[in-house]
Amino acid sequence: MSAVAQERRPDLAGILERKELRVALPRFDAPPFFRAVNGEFEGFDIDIARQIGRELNVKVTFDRSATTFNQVVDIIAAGKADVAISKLSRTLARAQRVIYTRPYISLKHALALNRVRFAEVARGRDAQVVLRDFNGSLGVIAQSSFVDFARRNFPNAKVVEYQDWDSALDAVRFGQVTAVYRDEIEIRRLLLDDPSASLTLRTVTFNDLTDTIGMVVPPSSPHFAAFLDMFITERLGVATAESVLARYQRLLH
Amino acid sequence: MTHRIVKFLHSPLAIAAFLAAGIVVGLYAPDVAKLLAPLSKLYIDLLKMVILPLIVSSIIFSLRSIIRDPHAATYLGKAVATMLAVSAIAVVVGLVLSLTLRPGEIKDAQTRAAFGQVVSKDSVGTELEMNLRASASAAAETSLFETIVSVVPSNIFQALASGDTIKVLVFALLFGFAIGRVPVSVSDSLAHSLDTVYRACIILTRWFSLLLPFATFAMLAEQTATVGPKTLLLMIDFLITFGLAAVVLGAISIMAVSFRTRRSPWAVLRAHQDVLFMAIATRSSVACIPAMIDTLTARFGFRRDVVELLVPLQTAIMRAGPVVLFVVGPLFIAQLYGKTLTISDLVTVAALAVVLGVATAGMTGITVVMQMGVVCGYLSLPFEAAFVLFASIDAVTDTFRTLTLVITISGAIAAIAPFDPESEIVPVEDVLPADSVAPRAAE
Repeated sequence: MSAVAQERRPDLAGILERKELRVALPRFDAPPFFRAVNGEFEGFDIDIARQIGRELNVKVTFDRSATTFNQVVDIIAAGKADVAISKLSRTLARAQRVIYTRPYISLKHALALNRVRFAEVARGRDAQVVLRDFNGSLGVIAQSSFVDFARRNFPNAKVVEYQDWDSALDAVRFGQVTAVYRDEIEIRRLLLDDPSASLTLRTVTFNDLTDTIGMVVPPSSPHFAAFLDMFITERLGVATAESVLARYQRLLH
Repeated sequence: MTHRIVKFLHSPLAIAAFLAAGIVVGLYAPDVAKLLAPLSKLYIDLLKMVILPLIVSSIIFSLRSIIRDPHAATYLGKAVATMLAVSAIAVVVGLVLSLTLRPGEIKDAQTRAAFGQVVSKDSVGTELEMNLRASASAAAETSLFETIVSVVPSNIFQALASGDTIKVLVFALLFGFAIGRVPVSVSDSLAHSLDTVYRACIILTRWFSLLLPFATFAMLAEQTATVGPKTLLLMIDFLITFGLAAVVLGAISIMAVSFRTRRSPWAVLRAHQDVLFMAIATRSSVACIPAMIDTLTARFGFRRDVVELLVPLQTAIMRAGPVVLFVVGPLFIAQLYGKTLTISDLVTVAALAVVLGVATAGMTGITVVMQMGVVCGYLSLPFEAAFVLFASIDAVTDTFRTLTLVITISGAIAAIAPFDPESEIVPVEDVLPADSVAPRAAE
């Protein structure tokens, strides 16, 4: 990555001067938050980005060069885009490199369990007791916030990292891992998309573990961060899984 | 005229017609069937109304006379022995049928998907919500041991008021033994009172059994409408396996009665007609106790005091129906998830099935099915998804369980009870007379 010296004013002033808001997001699709259909972007996060663009009266462009969530953070940290609105979990590690806005979505953590593997781990004990001290295998997406969450919340579990969500899902469907760990929207989507999977899989939602989603701006943009905070308070509020899923039922299919 | 109507309603042809009509109405006019639900509930309530006075009066009364019988201890010993024998047979039948028919093995992907669809409709089985860091006050699950020990009532009037049949049974047994010690001259008046209560209960039961065809019709219609043909078809392999086990055990029991009473198997089956249809109409083995006592005494001439003691006792401890469920169910689940069970696993299933059968005495319906989770826990099999499947067809499984229970109880008692040489036997073609109840054996 060569550091291109650009004559760009940073922060909100720069965005207004260039009349362009560059929004970073990963290359893959993550409905209902963002996906590309026939070259057109659509989704919960896409709508928010366009709403900000209208508020600032600037053009919105999307930068999809990142291949992972962490790479999106890298792009913002290097100042190559103005904001990332792409279901980014707020973690302290990332907050050291970029500025996070306040949360605009709050999602609970959830697991999808392979029933047979979990029964082997549980050995007749109550599910809640087993999960509080879970020592089975736990699949997560590599380089995502859930790697940290897994190590912190399930210290005795064997954490297995997968390149992408589909590989992780195949692993739990065929019993290669006992459970996969992600936010409640992705986990509940599993059974919404394929109800017949209920025979093999079971979902667990944790009411006391929350994944807060925030927008990310470069460290050189404190003014823009403050603007976005106010935008979230005034215009968005904190969405929950139910409201996201309800609004975008049709996007899931 | 009424006599001829009653006789017609009692004939096998009429019964078959009512059974078929019930199923047809349930399939093709489910709304009508659901309207009939209060009628079947009314019938069950009528029968249950009679049970507690009958059990208390009959057990106490019969113990009083049995204690004087030198063979008393052997009856109880034989009762336990037949319970173990029947449980063992039930386990073997269940294992053999499950392992040969393999009801849980689903090769077809579409059927697996359909199973998943049924399971997904129940959110409790599919989605668990919890706090990871809750305080460690997990709900204390009552152990098996605690369940068995809790059968002794601390307050008999409370047990009577809440209809806890097993607790009432325990009280009646102990109290009956104690009354046996009271001098005859003193206890005689109580004995006559109990006899009156008992005969009145039997007369009530005979009146109610006249309504049996209609009650069976209403119950079958409602059950067929509730379960629905699609779910039935989905679980058809399981139901066939269970049904065959019930038929095998029923055949063995009928042969036992036939052999002991020297009557043809068809006559034995006909004689049990009221009991069997009551089992279908009420799905409660306890509700059938009065009819079982009446059948064994009035139709086969077994000694009344022994039968009055053994029927409630065997209803409590000889649980062939649930035993079959606790064998066929877990094997079904193992086959569904493709887990092979070792010989030691099968032995575990067998032992647990017998113990759980006794522990579920007095439980009805879906609570019995929930106990299957205990067996699955020992085998490390997932239970919640399968539970949804079993719950959806429980109306049918419960009927099979109750039928198995009543017929095996009858067979077991026929094997051990003595005859009363002076009893008048009512032929199977005739309805039991509702105006006279035969006297007890001489005390």
